[in-house]
Amino acid sequence: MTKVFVPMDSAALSMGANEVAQAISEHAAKNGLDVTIVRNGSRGMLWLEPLVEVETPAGRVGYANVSADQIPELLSAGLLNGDSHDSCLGIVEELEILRNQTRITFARVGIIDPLSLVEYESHGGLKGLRNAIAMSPAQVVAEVTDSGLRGRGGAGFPAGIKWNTVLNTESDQKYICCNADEGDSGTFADRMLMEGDPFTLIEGMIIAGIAVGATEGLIYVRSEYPHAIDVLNQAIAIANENKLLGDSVLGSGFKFKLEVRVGAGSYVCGEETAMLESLEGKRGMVRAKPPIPALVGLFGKPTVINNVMTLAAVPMILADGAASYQTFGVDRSRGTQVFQLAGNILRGGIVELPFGITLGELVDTIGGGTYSGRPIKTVQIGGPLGAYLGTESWDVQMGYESLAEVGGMLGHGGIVVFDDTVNMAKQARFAMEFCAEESCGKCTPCRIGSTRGVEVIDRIVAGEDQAKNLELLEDLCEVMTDGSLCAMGGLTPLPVRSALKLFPADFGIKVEVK
Amino acid sequence: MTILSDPRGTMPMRSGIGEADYGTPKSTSDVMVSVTIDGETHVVPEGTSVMRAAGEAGCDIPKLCATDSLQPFGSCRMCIIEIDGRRGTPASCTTPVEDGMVVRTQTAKVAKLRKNVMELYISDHPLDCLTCSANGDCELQDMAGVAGLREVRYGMDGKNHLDAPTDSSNPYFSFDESKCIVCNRCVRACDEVQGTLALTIEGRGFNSKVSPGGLNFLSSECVSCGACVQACPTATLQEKSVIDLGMPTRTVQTTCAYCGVGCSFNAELRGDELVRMVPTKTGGANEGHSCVKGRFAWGYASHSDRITKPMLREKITDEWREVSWDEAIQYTATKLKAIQEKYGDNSIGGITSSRCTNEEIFVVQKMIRAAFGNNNVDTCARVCHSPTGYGLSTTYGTSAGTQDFKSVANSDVIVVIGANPTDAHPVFASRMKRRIREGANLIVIDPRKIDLVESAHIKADHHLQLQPGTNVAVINAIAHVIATEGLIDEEFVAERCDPGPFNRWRKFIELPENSPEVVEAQSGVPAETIRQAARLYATGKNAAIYYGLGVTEHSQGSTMVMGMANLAMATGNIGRDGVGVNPLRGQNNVQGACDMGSFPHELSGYRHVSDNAVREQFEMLWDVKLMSDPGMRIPNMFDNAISGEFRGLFVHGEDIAQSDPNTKHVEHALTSMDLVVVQDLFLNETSKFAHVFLPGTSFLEKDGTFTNAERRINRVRPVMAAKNGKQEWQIICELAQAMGYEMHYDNAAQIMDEIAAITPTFKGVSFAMLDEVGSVQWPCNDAAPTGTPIMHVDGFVRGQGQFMETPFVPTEERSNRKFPLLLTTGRILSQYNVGAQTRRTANVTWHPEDILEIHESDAALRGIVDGQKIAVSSRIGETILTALVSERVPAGVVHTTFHHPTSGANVVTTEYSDWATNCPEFKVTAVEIRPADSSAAPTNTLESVLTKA
Amino acid sequence: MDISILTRMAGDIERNVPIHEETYLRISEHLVKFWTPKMRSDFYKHVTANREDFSETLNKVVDELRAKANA
Repeated sequence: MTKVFVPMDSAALSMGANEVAQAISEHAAKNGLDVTIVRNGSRGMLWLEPLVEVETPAGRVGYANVSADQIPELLSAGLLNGDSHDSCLGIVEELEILRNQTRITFARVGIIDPLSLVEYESHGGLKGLRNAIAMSPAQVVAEVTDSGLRGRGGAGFPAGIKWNTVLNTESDQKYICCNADEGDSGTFADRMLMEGDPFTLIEGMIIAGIAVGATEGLIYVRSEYPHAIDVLNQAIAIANENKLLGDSVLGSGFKFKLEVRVGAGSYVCGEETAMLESLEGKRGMVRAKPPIPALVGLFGKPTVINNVMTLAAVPMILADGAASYQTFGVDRSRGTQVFQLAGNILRGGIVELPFGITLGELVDTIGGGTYSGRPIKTVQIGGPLGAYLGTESWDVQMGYESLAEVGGMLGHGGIVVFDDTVNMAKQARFAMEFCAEESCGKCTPCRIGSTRGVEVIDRIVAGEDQAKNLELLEDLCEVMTDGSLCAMGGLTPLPVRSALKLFPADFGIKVEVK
Repeated sequence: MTILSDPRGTMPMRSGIGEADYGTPKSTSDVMVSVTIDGETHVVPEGTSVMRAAGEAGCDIPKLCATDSLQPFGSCRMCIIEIDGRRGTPASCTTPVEDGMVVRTQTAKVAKLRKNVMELYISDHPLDCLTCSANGDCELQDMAGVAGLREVRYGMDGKNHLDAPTDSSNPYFSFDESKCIVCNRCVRACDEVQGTLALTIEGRGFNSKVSPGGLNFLSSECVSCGACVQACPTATLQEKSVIDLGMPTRTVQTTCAYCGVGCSFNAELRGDELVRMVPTKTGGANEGHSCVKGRFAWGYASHSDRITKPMLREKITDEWREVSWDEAIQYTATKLKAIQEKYGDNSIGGITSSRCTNEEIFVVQKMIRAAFGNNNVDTCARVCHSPTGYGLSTTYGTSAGTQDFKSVANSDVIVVIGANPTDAHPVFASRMKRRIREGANLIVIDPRKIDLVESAHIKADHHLQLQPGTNVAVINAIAHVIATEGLIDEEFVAERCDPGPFNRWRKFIELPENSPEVVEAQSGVPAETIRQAARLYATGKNAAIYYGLGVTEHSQGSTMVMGMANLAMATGNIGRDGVGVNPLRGQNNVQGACDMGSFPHELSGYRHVSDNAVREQFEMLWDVKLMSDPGMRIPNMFDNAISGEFRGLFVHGEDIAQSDPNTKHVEHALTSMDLVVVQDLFLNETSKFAHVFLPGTSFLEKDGTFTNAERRINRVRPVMAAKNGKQEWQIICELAQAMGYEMHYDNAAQIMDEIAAITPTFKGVSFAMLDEVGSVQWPCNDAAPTGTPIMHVDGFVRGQGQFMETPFVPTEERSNRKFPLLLTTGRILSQYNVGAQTRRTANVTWHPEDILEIHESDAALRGIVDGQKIAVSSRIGETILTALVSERVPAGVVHTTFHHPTSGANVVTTEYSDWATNCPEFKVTAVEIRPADSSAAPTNTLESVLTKA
Repeated sequence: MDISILTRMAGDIERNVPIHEETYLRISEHLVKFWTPKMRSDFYKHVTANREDFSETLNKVVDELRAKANA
C-alpha cells in the first residue's frame, strides 16, 4: 500500500486538489494500484499547490503543481515510487525553504491527516495538555507567561498576563474565545492551521480553559472560511467522542465544551469587543474599554480572547516548556512568528521563523522578490491598516518593537508585496475607503472621518488647495488615531501617512510633506 | 438654558431642558476614591466615571453620546481627556476614576481633538440652526460652541445625509434623519430605559442610521414612550408640538394624572400654552421615564369638548341650560336638602374620584359626612382595588402595597398576577423588565399570554395560564407546595406572625384539596408547573408579588389578596428591599382616594367610623356630629335607588355608567333618582342621567397632591389657570356651605394641613415639605419623618402578621351551554380607563375601538374571522365588538377592553362581586359570541332604559 | 334595598368565611363593620321571619347582631 498525500487546504483546493485526488483514486482503482490517499493540510508553499506527496522509504517525495490530467502520466512515470519527473521536488522535508524554518505552531500542518487524532498524538500532540493537567492552573499560566508568548492577533499583549487576570477574577462562569475572524488582507495562517491541524487549536483552548478555570470555549470563525468551519466541527466531534472535550477532559475531571460560531462578514468583528457582541447575538459594534474582556467579557463574564496563532502556540509551550519557546526570538518578541507572504511575490505562503529575521530576507531571500519580476516598491505589513514600508526598511528585524520603531506594525504577520507599478495615492485612498466600508459606525472619527479621508485625498491628488488639504488630512489622521474607539479607526491613518511620507510624488504633491 | 421659575409655583423648578446631566449614572458604591481633576481633588464613590466626577465638581466635560440615564457608550469622542501616566486620550464617560488618578480635562491636545471631532460632525449636519426646532435646546449646537468650531474645512459638498427623509408617521414626534448624529442615545434609551428594543442602527460605517425596523415609527414596535425623543441631543427626534409652537419658556413640575405609577413631569409652556410634558429625573416614581399617555396624551385638557360652565336641567330629557355658579350650587343644595327632608338623611350620598387630588377628595368626603350628615360616601376604588384594602389590612394592617417601585431592582423572583404592566403601568413595567433582563426570574399568573410572558429579551420562567376565576385555587396550590415541601420560612413566621392563625392556616393549606394535582383540574394549570413556580418563589432569594385588577375584580378578590399575603409571610418575603406584595393601582390617585376616607366605613387613615375616639377628633375639628355606622357602598346606593330609598347622588369625576358593571342596572338606578350631580371635564355616559353638571378642572389646573401605588405623595401644581374659573375644592366648599355647613379654605395647602392634623400617617406632610423634598411615601410622621419606602420592616403594622385561611369558592358565574366562553377585561397601552381623556387625543391612532380577542379555535367554530363585527352576549346584555383572532387568549376565554362607550363592554358584565368588598367581578362573565350582521347598538341603549324607567 | 340582594350578599360572605366554631362571630363582625344599620335590620327581620330558610350559621349571625345591638 502506498500513501499519497493530496492537500485539502483551501488554497490547494482552489488549484484543483480535489480533482487531483479524484484522478489518483480513479486511476489506481482502474489499474489495481494499492493506494491510500491522505488529505493533509498544506505545507504552506502555496506556489507549489497542488503539492502531491508520496510516502517512500526515503521520505515523502513531492510533486509540485499537479493537475488532474497529469495523473496518468505521473503514475506511469512512477509517482507511487517517488520516481523523478519534471514536477518532482525530491524529499519535501529536505527542501531548503522548509529546512530553514522553525516550525513550532505549524509543526504538524501539511504532515498529518488533520482529522486523525492518532496521528496528532503520534506527532507530539496532547503532550502539552497532559502536562497542563498535571500542573496547577497558576503553574500553567506561569509557563505561558514565562514563554514570552504575546498575542498574535496584532496587539501583541502578553498572553500570560491576560490569562492571569482571568484566572484571578472570581466568577461562576468564564470563557475562552478564539478569534478566528482572520480578515486582514494577505493573512491566511489561522485558516491553514484550522484546516491543517485543528487539534492543535483545540488543545490550546483546553489548556487555556484549565489554566483560567473556564469550562466553555467558542471559536469565532469568519463565514468566508467554510472549509475551516467544516474541519473544526469534525475535529470537535472527534474530540468529544474521544473525551478530549466534555465533562472530564482526558479523565482529568476538568470540564471543557467547545463550539464553533460563524461570523457574518464584518471586518470589525475581528476587533475583540465587536466579536463579543457578535457572539452574544448582537450587532457587531465595538465596546468601550474599560472594562477589559478579561474582567467583563462574553455575557459579562471574564473571558480570554486570543487569536488562533496564540492559542495554537500553547500546546508546544506546555509540551516542551517555556524555556524552549523562550530561546527563540529577539528582545521582547519571543518564539516564532508564522509569516504570511502575499501580494506580488514569487513564493507566496507560510513561513514560520523565530522573530528577528529581517524584512529584506523574508521578502527577497525567502519570497524571491516579486511575482512580476519588477522591482519591489513597498510592502504592507499587518493587514489593510498596516503601514507601508519601503526597501530602506529592509534591515529591520521582524519583531513587535523593532517594527514599531520604523513606524510599522507586525499585526497578524501578513506581508503584502507591491512592485513599482503601484500608485500609493490609490493605496492611501483605499485604506480610507476600506475603513469607511468596514467601520462599525460607532465612533465619530472612524464613522465620518474615513469618508472625509477619501474626499480629502481625492482633493489632494486633484491638486486642489494642496497645502490646506494636506494639513486637513494630517488633522484628520490625528483625530482618527487619537480619537477612535478601537484600532479600526485608530490604525487607518498608518497606511495613509506612510504612503504619503514615502511616496509623495504619487499624490502629485508639489509641496513639502511634514 | 437658564433655570426657570414658575410664577405660580411655590418653588423654583429646573427645566427639563436645563436639568443637570452628569453624563453617566450615579455609582452606588460605598467605597470612596479620590481623584484630582484639573488640579482640584474630589472624593467620589468608586465606579464613578471621570465624566461624572468632573461634572459633579462643576467642571463639565463636553459630551454628546453620554447622558446620565444611560450606560456610558464612548462613541462621540467629545469627552476625551488626558490622565497622567496613561497613554492616549481615553473617553471620560467610559473611564472610571481610580484612587489617586490625576485627570486633565482641558489640554491643548484634547481641545484640538474635540474641535476636529466636532468638525467631522458638522460636515454632515444641516447648517440651519436658526430655523431648527431645537434651536436653543440642541446639545450639538452647544458643543460646537464649546469646541470653538469656526470653520468646516471639509466643506459641505462631501458625502452626507442632508437629504435624508423625515419620518412623521408618529402622531406626537417626528424623526428627521438628516439631523441625526448617530449617537445611539435613542437606541440605547429604547433598550435600557424603556426595554422595548424597537430601535436599532441599520447599516454600518458612514451609512449607519437609526431605524425603527420596518416601514416607519408608527408601524414599528415603538410604544411612543418618548424616551428616545428625550434622549436625542438634536432635533432629530422632536416633539411635533415643539416644531409647531417653538421652544417653551417656562416650566412647572407636576404629576401625571393617568395611572397609579404617578410619574413626575415638567410641564413646559409658552405663556399659558402647554408645549410639552417632559418626565423629570428627580421624580421618585419614574426617575425620568414616561409612557405614551403621560408624555404625549395631554391634549384632552384643552379639547373643545371641555365643559367650562355649570349646567342644569329639571329632567334628563331636557336640554342642558348654562347657569351661573351661584345658581348651580344653590339649586343643587336646595334639591339635596329637599330630598333629605322628604326621604331622610340617608337618602343622598356621593362618590369621590380617584382622578382628583387628595385635597379635593378629602373635601368631598367631608362634605358628605359633615354637610350631608351621613356616611354614604364611596369611591371608584370600590370597583377596582377595594379587596386590596380589605386583604392587606386584615393580614398586615395597612391598606397599601409594601414596597417602593425601586424595590423591584433588588428582586430575584418577580411574580406578576392578574396584571398587565406593559400596557397598564408601562413606566413601572420598564423597571421590571430591566431587572428581568438583568437575570431575575419571572412567573406570570394570568389567563392571557401578556407581553411579559415573552417579549424582547424577556421570557417568563413559568406562565400559569389559569382559567378566569381560579386565582384562589392556584395561589392555594402554590402555598400547599411550599407548606408540604418544607419551604416555609419557619424562623420568619415564628418571629413575625401570630402563631394561632398560622397553625390553623397551615393545617388548612396542607389539605389534599389544595394540592396542585387537584387544582390542575380546576384551573387548567399543570400541577408540575405550579410546583416549579412555588419552589422558585420560595427559594429564589428576594421574591416580590405585583398584582392588578385580575386579582381583585373577582368574587374572591379579597380572598386572593389574603392568599398572596399569606404566601409572602410564609416565605419571609416581606419587610425588606426586593420583596413584598404590591398592588398596581389603576388610577392616578386611587391610593389617595382610599387614604382620604372615601369609604363608607372609614375615616381618613383607614380608621373605622365606629371608633369613638377617632370620630370625636373629627367632630371636634369639623364641629359637627358624625354617624358611627357605615354608610352605603356604590352597589348599595344603586340597589337602594332602584328600591326608592336613595334619591340623590353627587358623582365626582367618575363615569359610573360606563365603568361599573351591568350597565343596564346602573342606568336603571340613575334614572330612579331625583337628583344626579356630575362634576367632570366632559359630558359622559353618567351625565346623560344627570340634572346638574359642574365643570371640573384638569390636572393641569389643579393644585394639590396625588398618592401613587407606592404610597408616594406627589405635588400636582397648577400649570395654567382653571378653565372653569374655580378649583374643585372651592366648588365643594360652596356646595357644603349652601347646605348649611361652614366649610372654607384659603388654598389647597390648608386642606393638606387639615389632613395632616387629623391623619396620623400623614402627620408630617405639608405642601411646603413636599416642595422641599419633592415627594414622600406615607407613613410620614414623627416616627418616619422622611417617609416610609418599605413597610413592615421591623414588624407588621398590625403587630403580628395574620395568616388567613383562603378556601377556594368557585364563582357562580360559569360557562354553560348557552354561554360557553369566559369573557375577561383588561387595558391597552394607548388608552386609559373609560377613555374620556385618551379618546380625545391622537392616542386613538393606536386603538380606535375596543377589540375582542378570541382564540383561533373558538373563532373557527363560529365562523368568525379577524376584523369581523361580532355580537357578545351574556345573560345580562349584548354588545358589538370587533374580533381579533389571537394567540394571547386560550381557547374558551375571550378578552376585551372598556375604553370606548360605544362598545359598552359593561353592558354584559354581571352583578356578581367580591364577597367582602362588593368589588365587581369584571374578570369573569360567561358569554357567547356570534357574527353580527350590522353594527347594532347595545341592546339596552339609553332610549330603551328611558322607556322602561 | 331588595331583600334578595342582602340574602345573596350574606350567602357570599358565609361561603367565604372558613368554617370554625366562631364563624358566625366573624360574619356578624363583618356585617357590623361594612353594612348600614338598615341593611342589618332588614336582614335580621327577614331571617328571623324565615329561620328555616337560612343556615344555622346565619341564624346565629342575626342573633349575634341583635345581641350586639342590645349590648
